[in-house]
Amino acid sequence: MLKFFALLIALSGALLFYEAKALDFAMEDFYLDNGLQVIVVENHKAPIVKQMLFYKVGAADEKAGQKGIAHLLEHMMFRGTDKVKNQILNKVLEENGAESNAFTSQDVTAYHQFLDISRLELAMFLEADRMRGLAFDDEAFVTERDIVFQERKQVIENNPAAKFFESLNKTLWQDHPYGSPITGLDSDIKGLSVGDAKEFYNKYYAPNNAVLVLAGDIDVKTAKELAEKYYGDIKPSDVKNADYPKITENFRGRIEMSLPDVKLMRFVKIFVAPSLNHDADKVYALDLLSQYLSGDENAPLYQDMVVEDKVALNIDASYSGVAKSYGSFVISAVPTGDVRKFESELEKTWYKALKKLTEEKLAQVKKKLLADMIYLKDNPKTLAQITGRVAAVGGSLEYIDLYAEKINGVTLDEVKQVAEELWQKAPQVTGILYPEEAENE
Amino acid sequence: MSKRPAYLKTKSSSYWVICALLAAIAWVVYGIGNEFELQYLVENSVLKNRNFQGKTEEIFVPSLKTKAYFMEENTNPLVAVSFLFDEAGTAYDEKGKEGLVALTAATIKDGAGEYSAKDLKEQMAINGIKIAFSANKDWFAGTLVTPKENLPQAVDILKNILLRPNFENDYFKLAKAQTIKALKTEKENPQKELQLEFNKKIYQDHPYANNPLGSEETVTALKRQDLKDFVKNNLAKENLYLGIAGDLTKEEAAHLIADIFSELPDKKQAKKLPPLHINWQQDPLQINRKSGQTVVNFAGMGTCRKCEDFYPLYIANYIFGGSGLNSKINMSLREKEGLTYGAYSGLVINDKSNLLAAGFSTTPDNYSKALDMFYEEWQKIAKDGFSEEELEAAKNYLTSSYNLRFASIEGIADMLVMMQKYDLGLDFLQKRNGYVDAVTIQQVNDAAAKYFTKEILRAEIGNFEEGK
Repeated sequence: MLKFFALLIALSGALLFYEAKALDFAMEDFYLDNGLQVIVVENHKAPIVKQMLFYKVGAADEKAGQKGIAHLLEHMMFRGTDKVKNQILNKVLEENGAESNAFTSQDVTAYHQFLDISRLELAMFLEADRMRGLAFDDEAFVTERDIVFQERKQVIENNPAAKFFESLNKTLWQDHPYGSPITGLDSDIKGLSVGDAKEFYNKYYAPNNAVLVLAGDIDVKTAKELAEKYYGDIKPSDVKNADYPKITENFRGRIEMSLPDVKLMRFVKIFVAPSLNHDADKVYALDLLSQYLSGDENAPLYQDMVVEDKVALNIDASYSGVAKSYGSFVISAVPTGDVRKFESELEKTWYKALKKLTEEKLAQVKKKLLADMIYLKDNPKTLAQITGRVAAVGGSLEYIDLYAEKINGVTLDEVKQVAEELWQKAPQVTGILYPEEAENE
Repeated sequence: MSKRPAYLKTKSSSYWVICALLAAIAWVVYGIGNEFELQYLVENSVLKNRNFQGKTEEIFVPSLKTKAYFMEENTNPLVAVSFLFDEAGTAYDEKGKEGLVALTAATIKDGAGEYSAKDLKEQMAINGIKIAFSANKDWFAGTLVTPKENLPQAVDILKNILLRPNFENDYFKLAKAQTIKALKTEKENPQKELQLEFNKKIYQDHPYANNPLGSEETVTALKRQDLKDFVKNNLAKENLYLGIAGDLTKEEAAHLIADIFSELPDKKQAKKLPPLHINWQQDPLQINRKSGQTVVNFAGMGTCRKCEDFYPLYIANYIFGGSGLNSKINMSLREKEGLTYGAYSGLVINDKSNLLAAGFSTTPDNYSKALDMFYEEWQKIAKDGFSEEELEAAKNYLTSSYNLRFASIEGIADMLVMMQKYDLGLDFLQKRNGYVDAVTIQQVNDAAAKYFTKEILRAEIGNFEEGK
């Protein structure tokens, strides 16, 4: 019998293959009366669970002069509440075996714990408690401000490539908030006050501006009961979604810089691209475009430019469309010699690759892109992260459930069109980072 | 100023005393209540009393002449195989061929048997097959993760890689150029530069001191044949550890590893590392460099995985600097003073050396203060040891985080390999929490006194010239 199925699969065409691949991600979402969206991802491999609470607020929502406040508030969230004081939160979570952390992006701020399922109720209590009850201690605030300042020095300033990316983003995004670094600027950080943090917290930290994800050894019924028990009584607040400015069409920026300590030339090109909230129907074609151009070492960018023409030692293209405002498409490379030659080769390769993209080739690219989806079901942390992020920027679980179907429905023309639009029309910035001493190669 | 009658004044002062007392009692009660309430949530959770059902089993395959550990995990149709070839790591690079093992790990998938490099990568991508190689000082290792339905292709590909790698010339030349560039980029990062220089100081003329990537000179000189010889002489049955996890029966797992590994040679080329003697009496290494932060690293003597005081030292380290924000060193340097984004300590376990390492980074203006505080905390550990409460908290963490290790099948397969590499036994997973619970405060404090000594080496990088 088994052999018969194997034969059937081998003989049948792509259609059956894709149908066999239809995956059940065991996800469901619901809303509490106070507006909190709850996503449950069932994964019963081990008695463990990941709780993530995403607030739909990030660095992009900060006012001018308060850059860095979203991230600094994230730090303050570990300092204590009216009920759970003096950093007991960290201590209690740790003694209960939790991996606990948080992160801030342009779009969202997320708090998460990975822990034994028997400790989930504790984590839910603590997370719900700090949604509204944060204590703003002046002294703690000043200390956290110092820590954030040190963090910026460690993560950005001891890393020339990170500084280069900050300059590129500033040029590309102009007045759009995505142009400011998430950690804030040195000048702003030192000037932030506890009042700024409090104002930001009161405005944005509320159930109706959050998404709770529970991924692991839990069923939907229990999740509903527990979500209601711990988060159900929190009052919603009056939050309005930000209006992000539009980026000038056809904007083209260019930055060439050299920084001390840089030993290796870098080339980066960033395009402003569609997202789940801007031309949402194009995100699938863009995923396929980046998979086709740079999904693996056989992809045209690496094969043509690195293996064959040797104008770069490395090249990579990646697209991210999960964003509240625009998405971005980034090409980064390490050119070997003359960067002008590299640039003109890049344009040629881009167009040559599009010309060579046939229906048959596109079918292969789709297969490759979808082959990895099964792994989403392995570690519960993976889908917790993805579903939370998608929901927090306004997408729905259908994005994941229908992903394979949508990808399979993308036509050759659509992929070619998004590629053409990116290169010709999308706002973009090109950056070159030179080593401190020119290399003769 | 106020015309308060005397009796009221008296009453007032005692009133305040009583208030203060009440507040103190309330604070204590509330504190206890708070803790009680929180622990109550765990003890009464509707989700308690669940255990991971996976069982470690031993497989013996006659054609392999080696045992393997296996765990069935059939939640998803996935299979993971983790393999480790011992005594084949970067420290085993011959003189003049430094970088060979790392380059092999980077290029071993560039064509094998009948597969061209391109075919091989195409097949992997289309079938969702993940094969990755890595090396550390002591060993050469890899993992295979694949959807179960594509197991036949995965086996064929991995087998060809291990037995007949081609190291296609174009890719080989490219990988050498990439390695030489990587050697340059390492210098962009002060932390990386410090780590490489510190290794030289700790390990002196022992091969552990080498940069795993080699040097521009040695990498340039490497030939494809060198890599082929390495594979032929070092990937053998006698030094192989295997862990298999996923949607398989024990019998299927036995067939699987027989299919992949039984054609490997029995024996590896005999090669031993020289013994290592660390000189703990050295002045600090100071590297001057313009950077936003000064980075400071420390290294002291540690203990081995199977040594009697492993768990005591593991716990001592955990409390001192291994536990993140709550560790002693982070509480004082970061949470109280805001001097650093993070300070840490950890055990570094290798075949020929065991270290207790630590470090932090801070802006130059905070450097002296942070350094003093670090030494103060370090010495306090040796002198005063830990409290019962601290030990209890550490044990609670270590035992209640136990199930997190089963999050992914690749993680499980890797763990099964480590259990064999360190000879922890088939029943390690059942016994592990017991090992932790059995540690006494006396043992932890003895370990603290023995290892948190003044004999620690220090290396630092930063702007030391400025301000002098």
